[in-house]
Amino acid sequence: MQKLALSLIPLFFGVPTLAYADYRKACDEKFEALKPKIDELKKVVGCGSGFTVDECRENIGIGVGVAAVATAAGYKAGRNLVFKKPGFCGIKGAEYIIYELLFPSAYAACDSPAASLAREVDDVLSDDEKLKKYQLGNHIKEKIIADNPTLVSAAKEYEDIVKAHLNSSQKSNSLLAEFEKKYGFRPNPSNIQHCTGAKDICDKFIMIAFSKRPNFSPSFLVNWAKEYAALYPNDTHVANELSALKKVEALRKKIATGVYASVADLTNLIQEASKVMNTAFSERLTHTVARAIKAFPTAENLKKLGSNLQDSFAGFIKEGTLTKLKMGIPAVIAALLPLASNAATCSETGKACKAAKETVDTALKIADEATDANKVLSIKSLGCAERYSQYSTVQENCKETIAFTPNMKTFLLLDPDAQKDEICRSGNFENAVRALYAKTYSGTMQASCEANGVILKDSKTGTYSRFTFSNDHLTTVDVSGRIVASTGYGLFFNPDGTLSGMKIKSSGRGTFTYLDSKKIETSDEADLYTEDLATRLPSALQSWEQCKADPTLSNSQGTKTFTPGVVK
Amino acid sequence: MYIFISTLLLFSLSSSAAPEDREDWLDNFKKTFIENFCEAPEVFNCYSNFSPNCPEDVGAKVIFCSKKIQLPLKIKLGPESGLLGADIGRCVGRELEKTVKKKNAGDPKCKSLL
Repeated sequence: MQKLALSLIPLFFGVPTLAYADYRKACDEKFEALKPKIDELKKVVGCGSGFTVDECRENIGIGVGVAAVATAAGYKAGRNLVFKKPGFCGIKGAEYIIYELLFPSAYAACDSPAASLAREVDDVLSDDEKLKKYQLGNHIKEKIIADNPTLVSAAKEYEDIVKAHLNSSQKSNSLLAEFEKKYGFRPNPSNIQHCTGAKDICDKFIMIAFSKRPNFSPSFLVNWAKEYAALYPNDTHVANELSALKKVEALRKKIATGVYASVADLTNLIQEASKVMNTAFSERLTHTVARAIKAFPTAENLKKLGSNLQDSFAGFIKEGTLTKLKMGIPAVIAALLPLASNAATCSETGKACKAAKETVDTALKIADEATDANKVLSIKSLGCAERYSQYSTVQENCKETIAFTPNMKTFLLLDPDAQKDEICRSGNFENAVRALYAKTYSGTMQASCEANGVILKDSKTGTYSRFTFSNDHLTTVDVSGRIVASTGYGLFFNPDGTLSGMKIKSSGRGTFTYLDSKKIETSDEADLYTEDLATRLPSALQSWEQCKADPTLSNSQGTKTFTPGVVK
Repeated sequence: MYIFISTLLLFSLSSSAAPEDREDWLDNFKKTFIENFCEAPEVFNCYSNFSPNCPEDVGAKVIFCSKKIQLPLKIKLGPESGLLGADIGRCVGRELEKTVKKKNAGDPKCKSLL
């Protein structure tokens, strides 16, 4: 009990979590893998072998030590940039990269896009873990209340003792003595977490007494769910919820120690995550999948980066520090500038140009792996859940006139009063969250198995898609059109992690013909298709698992149609 | 949604933001710089003797350095404003170097920083 009681103290005083420290540790540990890339970049800007660290920093004009850190901080601040959340430190635009890669302990310890996105999956799982703990804790709380009417009465009496204690400790002492005589344990009105008596009784009493308090927070249930579960070793419901929780915990542990470096790695991870997590989090997983697809280099990405890169190098030249370089890099970079936005002209300008182009290509390659932060949609419902947990009790007077919020993102952008109304009408925060997620995708996916993949039908749009797998890795996706009738798209996951797209002609259920030379070229198209794909992918992965596990879903007599997750 | 976001992104990349008045830019810069710098763990892990009130001390140095550097009347956010910020940052860093002391020299992270 003492352990539980003492540990409760910080819970109610908003002590920050260890998440940031954990994150930093993980980033630092992964830094080794990034070092070769930093070395590549250093060569581009005149550092690397043959240069000391000081020379390197002086060469690119940021100095050393405190001055270097302050210069980098000044550069960011001058551009009005703040890294608000370290979780996204691996995802940034090309213009930051030179400064930040030189401060590995602060920023560059972030990993590849795949590893960054794996961490995002972990973020979703972390929230799912919290929700599971909350649900488990809430179940136990209800059970304790239902099974212990005597302790419920005791908690009511205890409130009177607390009031008496606040007015006159003398009176509360005599009341406490009576209380102990009557119930066999003695709480401490100065600190509810201190209780003298049988451990299980005290634990149950603390749960009841806390839950009646106006400042009771769901985080109590989240933090203590597992400890309280130990009180009910034979309860089937508790055992099932604990088992689901353990699966999430195990996957999170696997992510923490695993290596995620490709689309295939992410595909497997998302597949595993979708199996263990609550469906309430599927929207977030979908966004992560969409980003996973976008994070890998494509020709379109490289084109966008070209203009950014020009700014970066122009900045360094303006700085005037390049004259200090020991090698002929300034000439290379000067030649590189006009090429940054149009590398194809290189053949006309000979050898120096070729070197410049190679430099551009190297920098682009490195920069592209960092991708850009602006595309990251940060739906941080956990932070909001904690911030608004004070509203988790039902309010008496809801404003009925306000329209329901259409989705979670809009909800998070509302001012707290409007959020309170939303929560109020849903009954509690958890219900509000569930309702908001449910609004994201109202349709259902119907699946049927093929020898090497699945065909999905989206009930909402009536479109079909075929997902083909090779060695359990997704290789192609064909989707019938909803943008232009009868014209859809196909996507190919290349072995190197890149994604190629083609337009296709579709004629009915799962029949797709590729149109000659109709590549997906515009970023708008790519955006639309990747979002569409992300909506389907979780269902496809789940269906494929079911197809493999159950041969009766696909046999010589044909295929059965089923809803992913529920075999019909 | 993605079309909207990417359109927004492309717009923000290609369009020229209106220049800010020097004073406004400096106000924002000071606030953001303090957030970036005073929370940079590598500084505090590898150096000692910082003023106990980093935001106030660094804020004063930002003002001092911004006067040393002749800022234009209008400043456009972008690489150029980044470099103006870097100039102020370097000046602040040089000022701080007069008082701070190196520590944890054996730590590999500090080794590359000190």
